[in-house]
Amino acid sequence: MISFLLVMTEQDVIRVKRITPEMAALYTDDKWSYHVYNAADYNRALVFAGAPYELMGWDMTMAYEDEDLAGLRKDDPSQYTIVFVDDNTDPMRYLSGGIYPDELIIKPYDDGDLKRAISTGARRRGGDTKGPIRGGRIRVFNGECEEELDIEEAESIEARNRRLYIRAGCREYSFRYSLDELIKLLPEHFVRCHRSYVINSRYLDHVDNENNLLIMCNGDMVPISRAYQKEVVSL
Amino acid sequence: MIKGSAGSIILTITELKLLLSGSGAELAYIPGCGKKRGSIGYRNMAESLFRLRGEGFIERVDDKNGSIALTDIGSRIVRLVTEPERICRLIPFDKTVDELVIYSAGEELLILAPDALSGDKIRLMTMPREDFEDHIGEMLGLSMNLSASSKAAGDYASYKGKDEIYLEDLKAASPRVDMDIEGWMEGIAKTSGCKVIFAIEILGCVKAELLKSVVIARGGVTEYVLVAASDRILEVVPLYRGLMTEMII
Repeated sequence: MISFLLVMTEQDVIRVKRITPEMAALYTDDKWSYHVYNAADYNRALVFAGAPYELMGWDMTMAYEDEDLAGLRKDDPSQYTIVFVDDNTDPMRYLSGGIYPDELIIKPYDDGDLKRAISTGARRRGGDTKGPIRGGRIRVFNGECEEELDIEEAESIEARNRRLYIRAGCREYSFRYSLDELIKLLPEHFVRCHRSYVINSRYLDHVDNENNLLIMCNGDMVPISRAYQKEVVSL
Repeated sequence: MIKGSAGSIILTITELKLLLSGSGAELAYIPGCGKKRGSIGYRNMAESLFRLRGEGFIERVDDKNGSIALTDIGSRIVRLVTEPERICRLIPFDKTVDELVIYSAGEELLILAPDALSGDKIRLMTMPREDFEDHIGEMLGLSMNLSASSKAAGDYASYKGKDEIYLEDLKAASPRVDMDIEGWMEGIAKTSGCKVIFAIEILGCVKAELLKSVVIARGGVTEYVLVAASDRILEVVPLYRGLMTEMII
């Protein structure tokens, strides 16, 4: 469950709620719960009782206490917060709060601005909590845009040159993540055979015991290290 | 086509040769796969053609005269390999990092690396020249905040006051005479006390003959670039932003 605190005007809440489902479908399978407060019903005690929130939207153009925002971010200063400001807002108010530039929305704004901010927040949050895999698909960047790759298309995964590389057919996609963390998110038929390699056993042709190699259907030869021989024996 | 550091395309030597046959040109240099250069069997060729078409490199095959027509992407790759303005071989001192061959023409680079999982495949990566320095910097762990000019980098090193001895020892390094690049890097590491990070061989564009050798090494506070001809050290300068791109491209 992704909890989203909205402290803003009713018009802004309507816009956020209209746009969020699109973003949610793109970045996470989790449900979103909204905690909405505006000027009329803002209740400091209730707001703090609902903490922590995964995402926050906070309107600085209204008469909420900046200390409350700082207090909600105190335990997790990197928490993603969309801050609404206008030309009259003193920049020191948000700069001193450690707000990232991509978290600012300057009024008046359009749906595109809001989409960008929410999508950045959802992605940042999603990356922290569940890793790059969602519903059996992994998000990869092809140099121009993000693509979704069915994890079953991955034949092997290699840690190399400070990155992970997923090999699927004659393509290899790279991204920054830890192999130790990724293996926890993969289905059971993905097997670690080496400190730097994980294979999808569905693409395994045979095991070359003499040379300690896994021979994949596409002819690739993936090394087996002593430390991971037990995992390979289970194949 | 995957771009930049987002990933690469993996082709067999057969497929690369087929791509090249579309232009009727010969490849100047292929890293780590000389023994695989041979004639292409019919079965291999058929499989390769299907794959190259599937990947969007080949537009059509003319059965009558046996020629192939390349797509724009296929043509760009072929042009970089067959008509490069510069070819460089990048050899990391740390053997766990990939050796690369870089072809450059205009604003674009093609980077080839032998595939570790198979003896007959090559990884291809294209990227704009402006991204090269960041890509290599990340891959080899170079300083992220390089100075903007040679003077600024030198001023920084002398301000810190610890690197003069490294600089002098690098200037006194032995030239690369009758020596392979690995042996030369080891020698420089020993005599200068610097941590050698990688070397670059700058090759001729036609016969891949060696023109210059370069070593990038880390001193106490900054990194240095040592440029050498076959028989003498040409210069040693602190590494600054843009220098690697200038040298390689």
